[in-house]
Amino acid sequence: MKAESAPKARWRDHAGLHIFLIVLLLALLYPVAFVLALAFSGEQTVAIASLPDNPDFFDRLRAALPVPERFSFDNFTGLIRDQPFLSWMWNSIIVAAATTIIGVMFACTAAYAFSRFKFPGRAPGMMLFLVTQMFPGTLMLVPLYIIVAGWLGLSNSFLGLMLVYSVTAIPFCVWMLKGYFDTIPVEIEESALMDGCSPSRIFFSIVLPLAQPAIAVTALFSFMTAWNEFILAATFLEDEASYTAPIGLRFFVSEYSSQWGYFAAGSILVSLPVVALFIVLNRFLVSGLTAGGVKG
Amino acid sequence: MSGNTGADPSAAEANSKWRALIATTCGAIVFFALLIFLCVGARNDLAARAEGEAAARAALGLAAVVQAAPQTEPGATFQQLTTDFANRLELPGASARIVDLDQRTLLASTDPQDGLFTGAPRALTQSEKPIYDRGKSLARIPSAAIAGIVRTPQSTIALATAPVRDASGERIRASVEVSLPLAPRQDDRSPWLWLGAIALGALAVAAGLGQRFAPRAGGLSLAALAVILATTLIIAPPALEQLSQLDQAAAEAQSTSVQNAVRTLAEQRNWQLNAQAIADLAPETSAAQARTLQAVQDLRLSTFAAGLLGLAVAAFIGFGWAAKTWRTVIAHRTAYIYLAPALIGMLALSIFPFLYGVSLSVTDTTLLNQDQAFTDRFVGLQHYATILGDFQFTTGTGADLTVDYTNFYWTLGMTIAWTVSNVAIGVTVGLALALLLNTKGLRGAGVYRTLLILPWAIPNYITALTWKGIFHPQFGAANQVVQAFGGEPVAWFDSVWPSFLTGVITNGWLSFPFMMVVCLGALQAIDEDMYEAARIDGANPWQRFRYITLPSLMPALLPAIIVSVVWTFNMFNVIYLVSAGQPGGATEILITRAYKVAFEEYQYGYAAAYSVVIFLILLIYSGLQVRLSRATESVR
Repeated sequence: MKAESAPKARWRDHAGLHIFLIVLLLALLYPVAFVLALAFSGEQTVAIASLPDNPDFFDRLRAALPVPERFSFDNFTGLIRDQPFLSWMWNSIIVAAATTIIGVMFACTAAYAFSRFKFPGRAPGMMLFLVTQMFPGTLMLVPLYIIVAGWLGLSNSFLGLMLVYSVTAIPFCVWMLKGYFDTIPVEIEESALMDGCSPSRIFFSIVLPLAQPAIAVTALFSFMTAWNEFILAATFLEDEASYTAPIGLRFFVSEYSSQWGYFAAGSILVSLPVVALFIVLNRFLVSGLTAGGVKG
Repeated sequence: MSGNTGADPSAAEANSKWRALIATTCGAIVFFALLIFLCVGARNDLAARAEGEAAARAALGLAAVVQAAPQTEPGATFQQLTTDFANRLELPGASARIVDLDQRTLLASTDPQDGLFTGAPRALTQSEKPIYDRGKSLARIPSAAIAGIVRTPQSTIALATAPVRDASGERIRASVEVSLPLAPRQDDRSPWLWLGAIALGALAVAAGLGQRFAPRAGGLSLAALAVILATTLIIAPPALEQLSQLDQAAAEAQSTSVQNAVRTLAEQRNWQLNAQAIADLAPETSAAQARTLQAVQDLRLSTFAAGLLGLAVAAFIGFGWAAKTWRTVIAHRTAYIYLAPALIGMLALSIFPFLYGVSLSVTDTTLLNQDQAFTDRFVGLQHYATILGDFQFTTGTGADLTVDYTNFYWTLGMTIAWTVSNVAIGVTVGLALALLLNTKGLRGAGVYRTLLILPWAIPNYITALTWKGIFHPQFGAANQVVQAFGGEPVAWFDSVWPSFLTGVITNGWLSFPFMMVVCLGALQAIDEDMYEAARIDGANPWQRFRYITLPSLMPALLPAIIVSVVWTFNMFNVIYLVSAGQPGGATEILITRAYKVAFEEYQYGYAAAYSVVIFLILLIYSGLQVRLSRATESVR
């Protein structure tokens, strides 16, 4: 952590608090431990340990303790060898990467327009971007399905998903980036203009490099929007080969099958990249998420 | 006119003539493009419905044959029967299927997509879910004695329900479907070309007249277009009528072939067929004619609407508004170019679907009638009245009296309880953890913070499914702990409040890190000197919290609460994946209820109205919130 003004205390200065926090942490992170235990158990059942016929207190507690009975990588190897999981992951990667690129590109230019130019329709336009955030997903689902699958013929295709996800992510990205662009002094651009720099060059060579931190956050947000999306993908993709990872994971524990081991192992593989990115970048995300709230 | 004074007026006049011509042409182009689209659409629609009718008769015919099969016939003959039947149909490319809706099995199929079918029933795979959905949606519609028709991009599928007997003689609910590949449309464009030529002639005449008489460009273009519109209104509808009669004749021949196929099949096997059932398969000429008349009427109306649109375009250009708009766009072109990609995306995939959804909400669109004309499906505000005016909170009588969990107000109450309890938990836990972690000089605070953020970082559907596993009634860890301490295992999803609790626990777990991060950020920004000063003034810890910490937190916490209310209100994944609304839809929140209406009951129109109501609630909420934050700002 940065900005430590006070000198560090020693561990034992807060011993009581540390013990309390560790206990709390163990309790709060139980579901994470639970998934880890299932993933490394090598079994497909949701029970961590099998119970004897007349289980006593400790048997019960053992069955709730997130430690597998035997440690094994079978679920991971099985997931990759016997299940089409890698291709589901690959589908997710393609969709999320494309969403990030489209979403960030469109959002950067739009945010720049809102931040730097005065033009008729600016205020209603910004309002429009905000209001779309309130549209309930279920209202959009049927029309989107008709438009994307029926009219554009993009059912079972990733292009439809990419477009819809990008549009979902754009309003947040625009507001986030606009806020950041507003903080970049306009004098830099003015002096570049004086030196004969073209507007597009100013945008690409001056503004975008300066806005890198904000762009990183919007990219993370777009990526997570696509990577974690569930309902739309479940509605659009019917073909098992074109599943994205969320639909595949849900498939393991749906009414059609009960493979908790594969689900847990897959969950870990799917979560790792986003969790890592998120931990690095979450500080920046918070300011953006709450900024929308203030402006209504 | 003489040289120096006339230069300006004559230039303006020439300008105005050009503008008149451009305006009229643009208006005409818009009108004709729409008209051809409408005419071709109307014609294809009629043709497809005639074809659908034939497919529907085939489905009904097969259903009749299957139902007539005597009890002694083993189940495997379904396949033989279906193959025989499909071969006899004079419908090119037609294939038939029988699906057992109770067991989700495929009983018979001649569709090559289903693989080589040996006759042994097999379970439907998940990618075949649409087949099951179709059948189930038909079974739900009360008037399903007649067939329903579904159109996919590849084919027209007709369905009928049939109570058939399986191998052991048990009666089962089955759906019979016959799918026809979409026939290539006959490309008889000559009537439309003829129509276009006449209209272009009218345009030329009108433009010539304009050169002579019209003093004002706008008025002229409107007059010219009005002439075109009137001409078209006289010509287009009868042309459609004539064309559709050809399609109708073909469809009637197909229906007759179905009737013959059914009769022959039954006679070959000596089965008793209901005479009425066979008679019902005869083509209905009068219904077809009524349909054509209706289509012609609709076309007249939509031609008129297209004409108005054309007139609007002409007026827009003719009166100079277009030029003005154009100048504005040019003046701010950089901004608009930068904005265009995002804006086009938003309009196409966000605003338009929204408006489309709103228009769905005033229709009774379902999976089976979505291809019918809008006017046929229009029901006005009926859905809204049904949703908001439902004050019947209970179902059943006497001992069976229970709360009607599908009542809108029950679900609304549940949603509010859900939102309030989740946000309260999130804020309390988040704030408490933030206060702990903000202890001055605490070592390892960064590590704790990172670990505690995990629930937010993990994709929420994974969290939801994980908690569903923990709450598994038989093997789940939650019940192991309950039993370890001597409790009875809880059937989490069998009664309302335990089921609600599973959702709240899951969502509370998801939402505290966000609040914690927000609070921690705000806490670290508080000036240490303020506490020092307060301590010197003799303030106790509670007073310091109440009068320094809390007020300093508010500017950060309030917006966080505002957004998290909206998130929780719309938190689809947790409810859908954990409790799925059990028991009996009691723990459903508004958004999951709307989803179920749309995708499990297939009542698209009703679901759209439900969603619009959700949107209005959120709109009111955000309106209140804006007003509230303005009020607090002015107080400050």
